[in-house]
Amino acid sequence: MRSLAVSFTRISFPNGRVRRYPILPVVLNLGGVEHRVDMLLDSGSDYSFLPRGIVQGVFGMHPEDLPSGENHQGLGGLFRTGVVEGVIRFGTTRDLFEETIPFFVSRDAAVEPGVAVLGREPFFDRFRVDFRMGYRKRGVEGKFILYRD
Amino acid sequence: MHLCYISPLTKTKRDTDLDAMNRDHEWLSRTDLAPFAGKWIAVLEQKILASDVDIEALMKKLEALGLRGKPLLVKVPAHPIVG
Repeated sequence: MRSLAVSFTRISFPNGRVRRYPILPVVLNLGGVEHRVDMLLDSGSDYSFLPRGIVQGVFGMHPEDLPSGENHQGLGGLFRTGVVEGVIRFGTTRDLFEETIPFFVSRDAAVEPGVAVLGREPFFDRFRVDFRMGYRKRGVEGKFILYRD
Repeated sequence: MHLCYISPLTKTKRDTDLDAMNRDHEWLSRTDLAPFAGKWIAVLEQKILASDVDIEALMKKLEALGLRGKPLLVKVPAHPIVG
């Protein structure tokens, strides 16, 4: 079974607190245009999301022009979405993974995930993810391992 | 579900140098990002090339730099994330 281990990402906040996140660097392809972006693995999210900023400011697509997706309930409230199919590539140069993912994009600027999110459907349907936050070795503070089912 | 697969911009070359991207990501995870809280940043070859709260403004800054490689685009959260 193919697998990929990635270190947790440490993010320090202005108040001095440090948090660790399971963030996966990917090459995102939307409509043949590719950019490298970080994505948060979120097993608590039903679907995968892209921030409006990435879709609009980087790929030049307008959320209002995308086919309508479902309405979603986030912590910030209910928001309408458009949906776009993307391809993500990650792993290593010699052993890469490539997955097609439908991404939802908020049409309500005030309510949206601020970061790109890989949620359960379909990412966690395809990959088993072993979160090992207690792993500490050679300066690494936690890692997560992806196994392709 | 109807999905959109459109090409609004010129298609780009297939980016397969994942090792370079991973090195930038690893470098970022060891870097103090507190000064960039709430901003988008662009990282290439273990350097933060530019930052801005507005990603469109960031992309314009990157365009002006005339880069040969693709930077890693990252939104630095200003507050802890609740999923």
